[in-house]
Amino acid sequence: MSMIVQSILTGIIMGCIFSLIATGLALIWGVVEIVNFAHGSFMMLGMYIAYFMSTLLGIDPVLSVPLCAVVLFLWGSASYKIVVTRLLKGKLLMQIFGTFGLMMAMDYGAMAIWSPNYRVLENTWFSGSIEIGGYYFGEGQLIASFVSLIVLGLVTVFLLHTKTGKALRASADDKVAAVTVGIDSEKMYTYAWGIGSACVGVAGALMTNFFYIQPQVGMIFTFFAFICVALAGFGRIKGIIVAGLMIGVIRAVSGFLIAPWTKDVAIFVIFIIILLLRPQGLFMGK
Amino acid sequence: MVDKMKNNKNKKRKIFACLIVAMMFSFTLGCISEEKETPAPTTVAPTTAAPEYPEEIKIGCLCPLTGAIPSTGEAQKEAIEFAAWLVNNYVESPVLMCKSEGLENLGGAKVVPVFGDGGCNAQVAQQSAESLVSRNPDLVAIYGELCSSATQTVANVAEKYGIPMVNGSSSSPKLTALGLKWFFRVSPHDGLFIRTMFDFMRDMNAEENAGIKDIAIAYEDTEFGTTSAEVFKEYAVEYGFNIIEDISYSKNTTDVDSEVQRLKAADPDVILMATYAADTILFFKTFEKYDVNIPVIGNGSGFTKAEFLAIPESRYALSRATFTPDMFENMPSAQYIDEMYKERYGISMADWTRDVMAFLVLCDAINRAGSTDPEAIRTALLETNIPKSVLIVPWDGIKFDPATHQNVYGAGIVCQALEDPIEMWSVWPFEFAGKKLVWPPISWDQR
Repeated sequence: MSMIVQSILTGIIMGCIFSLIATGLALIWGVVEIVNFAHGSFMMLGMYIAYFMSTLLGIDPVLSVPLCAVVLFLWGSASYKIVVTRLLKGKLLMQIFGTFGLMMAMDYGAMAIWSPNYRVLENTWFSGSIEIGGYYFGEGQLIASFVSLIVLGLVTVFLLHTKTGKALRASADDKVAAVTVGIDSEKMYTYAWGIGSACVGVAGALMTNFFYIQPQVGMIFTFFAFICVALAGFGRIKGIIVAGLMIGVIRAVSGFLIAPWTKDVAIFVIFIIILLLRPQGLFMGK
Repeated sequence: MVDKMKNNKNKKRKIFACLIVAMMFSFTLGCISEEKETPAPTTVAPTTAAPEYPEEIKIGCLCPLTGAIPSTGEAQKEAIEFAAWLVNNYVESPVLMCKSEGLENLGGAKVVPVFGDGGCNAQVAQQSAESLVSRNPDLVAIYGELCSSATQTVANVAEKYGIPMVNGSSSSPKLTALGLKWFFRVSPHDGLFIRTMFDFMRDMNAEENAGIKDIAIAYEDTEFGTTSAEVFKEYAVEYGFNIIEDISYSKNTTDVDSEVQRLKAADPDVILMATYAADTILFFKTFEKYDVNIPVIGNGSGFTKAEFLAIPESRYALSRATFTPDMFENMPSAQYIDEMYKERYGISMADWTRDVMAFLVLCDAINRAGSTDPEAIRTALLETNIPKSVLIVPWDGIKFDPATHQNVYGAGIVCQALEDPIEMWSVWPFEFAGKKLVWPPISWDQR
């Protein structure tokens, strides 16, 4: 029984991290309505920033979080201005292939600059593990999930209680109405890309405490972020945390109780069931 | 206008969902395709016109330069480039193909590796191999890949076009059990390697009273891992060990928490693993997290890679290997070659020794054939009988089984991650050990 509780706790912690990664994706999808395949590449960039801050300047990854957020915000905004604005004028498939191309350019660019070697940060502030009441927690995962919740809270406050946040939500809900009432859609799109990229960059920086760093590291996390967004409801930020936790817990528990190979299969099966029964997502009205 | 936008949004939702489903299918198909049977060899269509002494001998080399293990692929590429350099330049060493400049029997023709990306993926490797062959009609032979699943599809391409192919590091026993006409493997396969692991455990029980009885196995879900698992199970029965936990997991996963929790719950005497570098790093970090202090023996691959040995959690990990740098001390000619390798790349050849050796064997066969005719090279490979004295690997020689084309002299050792900085040191066979084995590993809280 205690091992099942351990699995649930582990799942919750991973779920928080999935949520933060998916929030950026949901924000971009919700406002700009473009599938961002390069999302994981932005996470990779956050990881490399944290890595070099640590190895070159001795700054812990947790302290690199604000810098990662700023750099990734700027990089995301620039990507939007340079690449995505042109894609939005094209057909839907062009948009999809465009972000896929952005992903390839970033991943292989990183490979050319930093080599494909795996890098691991050692001796960070949160690199060990702790035991609480007979349950084991990786310090890196714990701090990542904690900061993820804080960032998710900040994003929520921003979206609910600031003028820009409300304008972003309005753009996500109904673009035509938003433009009609004078919201600068171009500005909102840029913000969405910037904030979305900053969220996933922060996640990347935090993950360097417990995960290896490599140019193509973002791919698998992007995949779970897509499912998370689909479960929560396309374009909806609310529900992302619940969807992230669901994915984390289902993976951990099915992996422990049934067999490890079933943990991804379980997510696929649930995703297909929800797609058939509630294609609009779990947390979205019809 | 609003309706049009909503319709457009619905259309995007559907495409988004379809994309995810397509990704899931490709994920599944990727796994299935790695199991597919090798097509029957088709009519041989030689790609080279066998010119008199060509200036260059092109060898198509497939390495996993992208995909799951690109850093390993880059290392393999360096090993091949080094081997080609040894062939093309005079080196004062008794090692095979060193004391000549180029291929003497082909008028001193230089060996030119032409690289392609195998991606450690069956489909990618097949496409790259096809592309290499079509872009280089003068390709004389094929070398690679590293991942067994990818090697299998490259071998299929070699069969299709009738091109001699040599492999130095893929370890799936299946590769030399398919009856392929053009495929030859220099390195030992998992059957031989894994026997080394079981011989080690048997000796540990007999000589050190280790009390190993119950074992757990954990392996990634592609050709390398699944084939290793089959052999683990076969030998467990033969050697009288009980497998009490059997864990298959997806390569390059986001976490291995449930895998490690199950291993901890099973509490075996030893864990046997078949994993690549990234997952090996994750596993050992998670072992520390859950305070798992069970001895772990890896089936090479990720366990012997520099990235894994760079993390402190790797200390005391055991692995089968073909080679460890400390063994160079007893092999002066190999040590000399390793010094040149270090000078060039800053690190020891270590486990890449077998790739360097295998490439030299291929070049030796082409040289002995004295021709670029595929059939002549194949015959030369079949006639290979290289003595121990000219090898840089600790084997009794190199000779291919006429039926399977597997080197019959390949053998393995067991090594352990020790010292500071951490390196792999030979610890078994006990009489040839470079360092004394640390068994069981020192617990995480005592390190």
